[in-house]
Amino acid sequence: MLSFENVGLRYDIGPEILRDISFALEPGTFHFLTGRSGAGKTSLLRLMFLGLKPTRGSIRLFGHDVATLPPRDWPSLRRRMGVVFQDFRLIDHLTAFENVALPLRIAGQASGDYEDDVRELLTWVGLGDRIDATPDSLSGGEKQRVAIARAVVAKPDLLLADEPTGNVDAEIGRRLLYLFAELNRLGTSVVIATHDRSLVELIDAPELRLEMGHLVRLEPPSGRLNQAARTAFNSVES
Amino acid sequence: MLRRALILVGHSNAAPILPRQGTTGTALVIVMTIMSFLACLAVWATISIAGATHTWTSSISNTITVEIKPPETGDVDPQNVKTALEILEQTKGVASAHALDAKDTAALIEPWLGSVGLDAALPFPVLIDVKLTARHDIDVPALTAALAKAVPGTVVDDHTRWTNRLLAVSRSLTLISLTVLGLVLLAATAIIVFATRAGLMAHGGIVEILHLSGAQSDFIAGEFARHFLRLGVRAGAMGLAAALATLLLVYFATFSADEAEAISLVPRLALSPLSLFSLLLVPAGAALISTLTARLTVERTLEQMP
Repeated sequence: MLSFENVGLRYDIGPEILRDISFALEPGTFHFLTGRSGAGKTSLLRLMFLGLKPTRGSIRLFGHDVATLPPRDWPSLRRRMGVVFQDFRLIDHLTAFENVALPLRIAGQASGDYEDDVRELLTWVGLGDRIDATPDSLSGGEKQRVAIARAVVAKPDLLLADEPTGNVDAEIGRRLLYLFAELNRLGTSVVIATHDRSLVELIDAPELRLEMGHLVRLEPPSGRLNQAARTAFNSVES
Repeated sequence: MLRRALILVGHSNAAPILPRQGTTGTALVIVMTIMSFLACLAVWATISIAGATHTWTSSISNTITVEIKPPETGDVDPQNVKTALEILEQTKGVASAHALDAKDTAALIEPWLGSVGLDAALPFPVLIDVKLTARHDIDVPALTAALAKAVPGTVVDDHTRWTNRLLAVSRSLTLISLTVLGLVLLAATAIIVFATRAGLMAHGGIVEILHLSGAQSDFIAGEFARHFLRLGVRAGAMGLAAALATLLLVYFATFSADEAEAISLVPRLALSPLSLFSLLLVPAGAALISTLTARLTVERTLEQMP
């Protein structure tokens, strides 16, 4: 589904912030991406969702070598991914409903086809009574839930979330994590970038930790690792 | 076909992804309204000049004037007039020939000499107004030679010197008005390009979200095209309204003047059905330029994004 081979990234003429990153994500896997603040988690996620081009190395996404894929074909790959941005990136003049429905609208669906699904999803994330609210009237936690709903509404093959529970209380955080787990159970590969150790400990999933620009893989403490993830990672490492 | 057209202008029943307010300021609407106003005036000028030239030239192009000059003493010999009329009537291409009498001649010079009438002591030439079946039917040099031989002192004026000068002036004015129209279109296009780029910068966050959510350039460009379509239609309509108001003002102001007969010629032509229809094309053109320019500008900008 997604693989990195010796990928390096530097901004302009600065130092290389990601070095020799190699890993693979297979369908249906669940990973945490961890590291201290400034370790490069967001940059690595941006490389994953084609928001950045690597300085070196090779990225394959959904079976395509990104370096040789014409840019006109990139949107179709992006539509197979859902992204939760750390700063939410909601469109201010659109309602919560319209923000969540955006990926479906981009995919060309008619509003009548997705209206019920979007309302149900918003209700599920606890925003059933805030459907027509615009982002400026939502709290930080509510905005985050709208951003998460937008990322998952199209049932993506790959979900990338950057600190998705950073602005919500523990109860909502757990609820959102279970939403990701449920999506994962239905076949979506999930990568959650977080520095929240309590969140990592909630699910037995492998941890990809960024240290000094390098990626280190950590097994979950219980050792009950998702077999598909173990196989994929091992195949790249070997 | 309809679906393709709707995609081209970014049609959608859903709320616009770009905010109605703030993408482009009021200043842009004002500038585009002024551009549309100037374009309307340029279109009106082009059509009016062409219409006026056609009216003026067509009224004299199928006529020639024969002038029989009087001898140094006395009046023109009536026999010479009769001879000239006989030659004219036998000439191929002449529909009719009519010699102006003293009353007609007095009417012609009345604007310059007043209504005092002709002084009988003054020698006046006799003018023969000749109507042609068609301009190309008559051999003017041959007619001139025949008349000069039969009636010495005869001059044939086929008005080509006048019409050629008029056409030269008309062509110059038409070229000027078309140049003005072209410059207005060029300026309007440049303004839309600039405004679209400013809109892209102002809404870079929205564009990035759409881009990263998998929106094709066509989709994003359609959103901008839809916004600028509305702007173009609005500015074009306001420019047209201002231009029509101005033309009507000029029309009635000049028509009510004492010398309305002389100076209302062009304003009267300006309000012909053709002129009005052509002016209606200006808002459509403004909308089309705005839409296509915005779309192309956005697509080119998005090509440079990762």
